[in-house]
Amino acid sequence: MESDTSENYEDFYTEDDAQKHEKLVDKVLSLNKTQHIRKPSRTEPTLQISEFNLVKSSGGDKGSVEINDLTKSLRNRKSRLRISENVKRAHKASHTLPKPLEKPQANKIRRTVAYEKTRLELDRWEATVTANRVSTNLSFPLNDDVKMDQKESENFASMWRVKSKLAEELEKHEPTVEEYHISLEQEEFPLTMKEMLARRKEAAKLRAYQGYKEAKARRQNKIKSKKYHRIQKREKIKKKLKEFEQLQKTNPEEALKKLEEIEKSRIEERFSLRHKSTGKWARNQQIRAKYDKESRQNLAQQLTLSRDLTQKSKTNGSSSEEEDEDVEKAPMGIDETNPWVNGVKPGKEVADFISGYRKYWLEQNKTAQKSDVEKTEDVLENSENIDSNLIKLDQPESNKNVLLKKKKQKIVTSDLNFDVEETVEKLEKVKKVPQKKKKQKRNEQMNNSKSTSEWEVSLVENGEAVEDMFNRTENKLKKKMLRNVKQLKKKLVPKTLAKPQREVAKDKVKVDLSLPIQKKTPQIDEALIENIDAEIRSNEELSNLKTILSSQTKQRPCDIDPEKYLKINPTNLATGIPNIVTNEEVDDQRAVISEAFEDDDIVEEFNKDKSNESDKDKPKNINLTLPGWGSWGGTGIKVNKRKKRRFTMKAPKKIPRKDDNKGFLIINESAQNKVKEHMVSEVPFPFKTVKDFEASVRAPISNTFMPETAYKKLIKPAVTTKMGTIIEPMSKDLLLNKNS
Amino acid sequence: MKVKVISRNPDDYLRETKHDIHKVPRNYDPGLHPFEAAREYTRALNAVKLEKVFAKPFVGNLDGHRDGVSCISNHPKRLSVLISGAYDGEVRVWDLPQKLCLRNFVAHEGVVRGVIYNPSGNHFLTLGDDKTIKTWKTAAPQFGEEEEPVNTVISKTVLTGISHHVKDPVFATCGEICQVWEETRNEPVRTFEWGVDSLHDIAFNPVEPNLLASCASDRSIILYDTRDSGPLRKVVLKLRTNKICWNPMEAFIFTAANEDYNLYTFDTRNLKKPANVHMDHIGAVTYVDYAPTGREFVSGSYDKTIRIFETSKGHSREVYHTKRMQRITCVQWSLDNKYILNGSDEMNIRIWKARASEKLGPLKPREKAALNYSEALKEKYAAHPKIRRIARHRHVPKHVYNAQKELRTIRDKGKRKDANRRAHSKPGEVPHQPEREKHVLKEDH
Repeated sequence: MESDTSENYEDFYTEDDAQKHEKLVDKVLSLNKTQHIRKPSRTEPTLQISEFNLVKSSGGDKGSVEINDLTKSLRNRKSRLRISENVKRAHKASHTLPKPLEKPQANKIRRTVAYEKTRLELDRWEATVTANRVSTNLSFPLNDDVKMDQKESENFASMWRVKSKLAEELEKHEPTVEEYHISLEQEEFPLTMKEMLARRKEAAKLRAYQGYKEAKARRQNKIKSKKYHRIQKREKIKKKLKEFEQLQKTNPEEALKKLEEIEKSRIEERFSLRHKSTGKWARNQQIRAKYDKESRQNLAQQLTLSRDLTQKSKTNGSSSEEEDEDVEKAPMGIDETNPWVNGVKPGKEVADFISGYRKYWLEQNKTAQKSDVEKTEDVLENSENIDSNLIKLDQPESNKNVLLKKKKQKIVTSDLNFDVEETVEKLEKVKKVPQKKKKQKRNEQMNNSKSTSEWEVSLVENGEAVEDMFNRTENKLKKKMLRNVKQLKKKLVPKTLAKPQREVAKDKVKVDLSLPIQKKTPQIDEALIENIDAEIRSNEELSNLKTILSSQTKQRPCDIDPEKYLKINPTNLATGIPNIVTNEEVDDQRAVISEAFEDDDIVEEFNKDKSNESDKDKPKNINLTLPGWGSWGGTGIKVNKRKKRRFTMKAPKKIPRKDDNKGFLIINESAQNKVKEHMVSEVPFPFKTVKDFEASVRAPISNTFMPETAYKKLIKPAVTTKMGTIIEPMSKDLLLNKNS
Repeated sequence: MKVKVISRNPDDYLRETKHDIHKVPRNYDPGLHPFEAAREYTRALNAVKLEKVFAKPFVGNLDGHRDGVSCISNHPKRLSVLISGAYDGEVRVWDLPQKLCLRNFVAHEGVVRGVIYNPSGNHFLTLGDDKTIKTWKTAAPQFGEEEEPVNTVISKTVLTGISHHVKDPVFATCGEICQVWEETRNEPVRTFEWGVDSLHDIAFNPVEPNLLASCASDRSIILYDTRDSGPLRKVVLKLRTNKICWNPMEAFIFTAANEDYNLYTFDTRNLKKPANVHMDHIGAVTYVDYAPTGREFVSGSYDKTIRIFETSKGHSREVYHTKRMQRITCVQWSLDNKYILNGSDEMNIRIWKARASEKLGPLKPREKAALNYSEALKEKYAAHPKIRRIARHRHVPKHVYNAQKELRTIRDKGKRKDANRRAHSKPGEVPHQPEREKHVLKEDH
């Protein structure tokens, strides 16, 4: 109806008063009280197009074109038949696109994909960066390409030069051709066809990857099946277990963490009260349980599960085998119909998990055992071969023994701490019996075989016995598994503290491209020694005294006999210099010296010197009285005695000296101090041994001790820059491998 | 008559020239030089003392601003030009060698939040609190002409920071959201959002220019890819990051100036923990800028000091301060690796030498060799206590000294407490946590 009216109006009005017409239409439409949604029109080009403004073109708007209508007109012509068919086919093949993922989820996927990509891109720089870091002297700017811009600077000076008249005239006649410098960036070719294709391919790949991830997420989100989720969970648990196992081998610390996580999940499950009989569901089941067997079973399952969850901690707590056995025995003979007795197998995830865990270990042990058995069997086969060859060879038994012994050792030393040894011994026992029989036979036959050991090996005939044995050991192993895990836990805790370094190395996934440092110099990475201008030095003396006082408390016990030191023989140091002085010469010299100093009392004099020396080093009392404080001061006024006594810091009477008990020896302890303060007290950072550090310091670098060429090389600075040159950020030209 | 003739030995009054240095045959046999180690050590000691004597890093001061300097920017092609914006909306262009202001005009109402040159250097962009981005010509207007921007873009959102692409005419701004603009267009080419918090700094990676990093007020650092994917990853630290700077020589390294007095150097490929933690400041670090060599960076702080760090080391190698310099708002390392420029709250821009005792100007080859030699000696004997003490000794203002002491006690206390806790708990319960793992809270995908 609206359209009719508008058409009618159109007949009447000209284009000039289109606005009037519109207004009128609006007014007429407003009479008809229904609201009409109009197609919005954009006046300004914007980036953000509101989704609300998008109207379905097939919504009945007259302006929209439907492809079917177009093809309809084609149908009549034979030559165009194919087109319409194609259109039809396309229509049929097309289907509505799936609903896009939730925005946060989709964004997350996009971000992770993009980050991985950029990470790979950044990895390309690794080699260049490491090379630069390691190099001992770098000169900046790094890329020495001759730049076009530099020519400008050459012309720069000429701009200021005053031109002579002649030059101006000449310029008029021969106008200089202006040089256009094309910068390198513009010179760069756009992508070649090949590169373009490669880029497109890469983009497509990335998109496909993202699409795949999205599709997967979408698929998984859609699934409502509980069973599926259960399976999913189980798979996850299995995966976790596998990871755990691997971690245990490679990274025990992480494994421990994982173990804790597992334990935590169990605990959470436990205190969630999901498996109790108190819930609404459980109560309903209880009511139904009287008549319905299935619900009874369900309930029972639930309860056992809860019990299992609570009991797990107990098993964890006790490691003894008997208790484990009890736990295992309990579920064996149970009335299935009674839900209150723990009889039915746990069915839920956690139980699965626990059983899976157990199963996994069982399998693990089995495989280990199997491999062992296989090995032993191999050995046995060998021995059999040897047996058959026994006729020819004389000493096969010893051979076999050696082999088996080796086997035994191998098992013992292998990292599994299980009691495989026992099994092996049992094996041996089992084998002994038939072997003996055989041996007897053989002896009867040959009478020339020698036996060098107590027991021999032969083929195991009664396989069942062995199997039984393995079963038994398996059971044992199973029980020990938990204990082992616990032990591992205990063992690992201190280890984790001990080896953080190796940890770090493992964490680093990147290839370590670090090269050995060519020029080792001490690296000092410590805070600056920052002081304010006025340094506090007034109390230095006092602090000195205090240190002395504190050191005095740690007096060494003086239980050394001085006489011993006088008699002691000189010890020769292990030096390369030959000891030329013989005893006779020494005696001669002594005689000469004693003759010369016959009159002097050398000993007396020496003791005097020594006491003088020790007096010199003795700390003196420090008088801290301030004249004039609390009393009159000035010339001729004596300081109060009491005060003097009070404010004098007393020095310790005796300080142990190195030469105290050394008889005729004076050690000047302060002589070393001057050198000491110049000496390095600990090995600086990149060096690991004193030897290394000494080697780095020993060789001189100056041209007074080195030839000029070596000197020039040695003093080359680590970083050189050109004066007045701008250093631009690293460009991709420096990239070693541009394509990857 | 007696005539007195001045006769002097030319050796006394003529300077030694290169012709006076004769080649002396030398025997380098170490047996003949028993004191070579001692002599070298003495030379090293002298060199390090002389270094301290010549350590006069302050070069000059540019005054003229009537409010605190909020931002500065180097010219990408010229070393002598600097541009600065202030809190009162004024922008000034400086001639560095002459310490002259060439141009000044009020660009914005309110604070100028960012100033940046475009890569060719013929235009610069300013960004203010009035939500506008203005483009100006580098060439000063002719006599009689008024200062007018070439282009003004009015943004829909608040703007707080700007960063320019190294080569292309593309720049990025931050504020409520991260936006990428093209110089020729008035609307952002792309906008990125992740979370609702506002961003206060943004930086283009100069080596891999598709990478953008910005810091948000929710204590996080966000990485973006400008090409198609947008945000990549987010790292949340314990406190807010004020400023971020990429290493111009190492594509994947960036350093973040944090509110917790530290700087963190991250490897983009492994954001779980910082590659290095740089401590020494005693106030929030407000600004960081890399040297063009990528070996060092400079940081300005709220504690009124500038510190220079080596990228691979955790402690600063240098600290600059003057009595009148207040809170540092911005620091730049000049593009020839020689100077450091900083703007501070008290309206001045200061010029410092990047190496405090370096001799400026051209050097004669012999001089250069001598300096290199003393540098090598210092490096060789760096671990010796006397040399180490002299080389690392600095005078700092009282407030820095005291705050440092306090901070040290606080840190010691923390360490002691940890040690005690470790000692008195089950082994393994309280593991030792390395410094590098303490500061990152989480890494968001």
